[in-house]
Amino acid sequence: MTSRGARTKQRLQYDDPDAVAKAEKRAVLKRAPAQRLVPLFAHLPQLEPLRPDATQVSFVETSGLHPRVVRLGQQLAHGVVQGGSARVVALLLALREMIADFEPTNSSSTLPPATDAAASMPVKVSDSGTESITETRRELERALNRHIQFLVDSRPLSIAMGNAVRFVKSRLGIQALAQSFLELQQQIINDIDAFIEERVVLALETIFDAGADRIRDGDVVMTYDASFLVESILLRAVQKHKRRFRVIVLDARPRHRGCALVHRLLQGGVAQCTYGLLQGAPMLVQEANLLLLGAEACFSNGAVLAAAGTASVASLAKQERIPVAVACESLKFSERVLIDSICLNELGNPDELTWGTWMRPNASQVGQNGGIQPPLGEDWRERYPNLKLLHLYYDVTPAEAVDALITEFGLIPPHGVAAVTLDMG
Amino acid sequence: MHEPSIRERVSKDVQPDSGSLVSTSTATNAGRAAPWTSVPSSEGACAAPTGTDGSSIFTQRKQSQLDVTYLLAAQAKPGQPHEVAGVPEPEFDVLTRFRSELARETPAAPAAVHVLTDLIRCSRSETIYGLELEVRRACDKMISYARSSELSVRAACELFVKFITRTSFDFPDFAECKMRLIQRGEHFRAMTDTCRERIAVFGEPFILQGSNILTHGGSRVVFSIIERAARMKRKQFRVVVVEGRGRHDAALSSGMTAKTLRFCCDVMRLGIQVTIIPDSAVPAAMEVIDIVLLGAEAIAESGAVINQVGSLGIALAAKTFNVQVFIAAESYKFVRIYPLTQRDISKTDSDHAPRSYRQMTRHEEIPKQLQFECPPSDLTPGSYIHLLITDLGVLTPAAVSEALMKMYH
Repeated sequence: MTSRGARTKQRLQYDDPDAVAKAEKRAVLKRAPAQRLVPLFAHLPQLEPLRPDATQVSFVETSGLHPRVVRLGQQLAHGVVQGGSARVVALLLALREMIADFEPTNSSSTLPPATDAAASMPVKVSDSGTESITETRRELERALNRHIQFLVDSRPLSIAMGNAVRFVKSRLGIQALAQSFLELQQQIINDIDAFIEERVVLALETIFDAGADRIRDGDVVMTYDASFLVESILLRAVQKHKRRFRVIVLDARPRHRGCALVHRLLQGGVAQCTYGLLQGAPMLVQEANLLLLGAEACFSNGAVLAAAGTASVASLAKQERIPVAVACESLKFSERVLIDSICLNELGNPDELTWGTWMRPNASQVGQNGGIQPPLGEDWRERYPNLKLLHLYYDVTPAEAVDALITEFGLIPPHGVAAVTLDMG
Repeated sequence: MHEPSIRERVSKDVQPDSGSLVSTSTATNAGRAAPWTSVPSSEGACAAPTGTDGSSIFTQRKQSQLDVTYLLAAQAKPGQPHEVAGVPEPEFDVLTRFRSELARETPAAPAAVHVLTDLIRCSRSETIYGLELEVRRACDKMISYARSSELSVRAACELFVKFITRTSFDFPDFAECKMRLIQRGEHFRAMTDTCRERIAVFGEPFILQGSNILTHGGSRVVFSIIERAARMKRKQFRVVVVEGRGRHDAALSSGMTAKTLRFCCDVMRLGIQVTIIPDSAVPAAMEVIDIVLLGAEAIAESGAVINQVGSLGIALAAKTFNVQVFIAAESYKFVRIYPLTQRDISKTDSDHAPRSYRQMTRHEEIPKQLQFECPPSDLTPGSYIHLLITDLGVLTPAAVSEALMKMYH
């Protein structure tokens, strides 16, 4: 399948029973559907969270999977690896290792010296060589698909991860150039390395500098939720550009990632920090003169998919005429169009919402501690038959509320996403 | 058949009028020759403060300041200082050439490219690196000289240097590379010469018979559109020109800049009725205006337009009154900058620092403490602009980033 074809494929709609039945056959990791479905979001995967006491995926499910990929799947499902850039890099590294360790079943093509020497000289042998390579390539493709399916079952892939997977798959198609399977393997690994270097490492470096360059002495920069890009931009501005500015960190339930961000910023040398909750945003936003946000994905109509709550902060800033800049590398760009937060979203663990205060024990301890009970009770499913908890991860900020995207191509307007994706596609 | 003669007569009639307008407006400095007749606009802008502050010192300071930053940059990068010392100062005087290009009514950015092309032709460098270094130096000189069109000169220089790098990859042979660069420069020259004509062709249909057009800043591109509409299409319309008080050279006289005044005279010569209104009257006049037609100093990647101060106010008023705002600009004014606020484009020149209003106006009753300050240009966000009329065609503000991306990649 060409990369173009893959792009236009429709996402699986979970409210379509036929499609779901088909998908279940494909699924590597079998997971139970959620007991309490939220109706408007029935098209999104709503699965029972993997409970800590049930973390161990069965041996049957993981047989034939690379241990690195299995571990990554678990880490993704439990939120150990989270954040757009971290997930992509983890995915690429896991797939790289899986490809490097891949051993084809028919060993005929894994005699590199013989085929290599033969391939370069006579035509006949090289023909049979390419044939076996094609076969091995197909085998590798099947294995790759199975591994990726396992990761999808653990947690739906983000846009950036989808782009990365598409890249890896497209590299499989270059077998015409490779003389032997080992060579193909080596090429793919090199390509993945180059991809990480170019699209993530160097891209982020450029973004950090471009973003830090915008911050001047005396600025008040506001941010919402914890984004790795925003954090690095702020720290770069302090440490490399020696700027002095104030940061307002807005935070929200249930994750409260901003707390840790404030800690890291203060440790990193930011002179002044203010920590507030989303409820206080209308007041705090008046003090800021730049709103700097991270993103999960950007779409070709300029819409920005980011942590839930971003849209309200951005529209507040827009109302107060404060410039809104979103840091986002081009790997997170999608050529699709997104107009609302319903079509493409992700549902989190509803149990996280039952805790009223933010002083809750570690997520991995939920269920184990008998002492502390969340206000709604851990048994909310039984006690309140009509209660549905909706824990959405993302929301969509329309292009009108965003003034600039900070990308590795410099600052571009949100509508520029289309030009960039066309350029690279 | 009769019409042209009538028109000619009208324009002849108008000319003495424009002369009288000239004499009244520059009454305060009547001793000087009318600045628009002999001196080109940017030169005039440069020369204006001579009487008060001595601008020759100002230009010197700027240049020396630039040399310091250049040296600092060279110091920061190890290894470069040797090469800087190794390149002999070219005999080719960049600034003199640039000035003479500007005197020939060439817009600043093409003028810069002409100078760079000639520089390469005369250059005695024998390596690409030496050539690039020479070009970079020339660019810095011209950028610091260009003032109001600094941004477009900067963009043109940036593109030119980028092109040198790219050509040197494609043609490793130095002589061939040099030839290609000169060819490209000539090509650019040919392109820019016809720029305004193309914009006039694209922009002319927006001027309707009997409409009222408001303009500001005395843009030559706007004039070319008006000229085509009046001369080729024989349209009758009115032009309302905003005084544009605020520039330092303007504050000395009646308020109008030499550039605006020249614009008014030129339009009147076409037989078009011109009305000057003060800046404060813009919202009041907006009721009767059909379209607003402005030029630009630069167009940012976001589609925002940087133009002489006052443009933002006009755009705001136009938005409120539902009047369409068009910007006429050549595509070489597209610049890869991304200003988000007014602060991002403000220049920190001493020339624009606050100074005593009393000294500015020579009015003794004004308290000494009163300060006068005026930014040279302001930033109009793309959301206030309906269309950009460029030589690439009529674009929406959002299309600028795409056009820029095509140019740079």
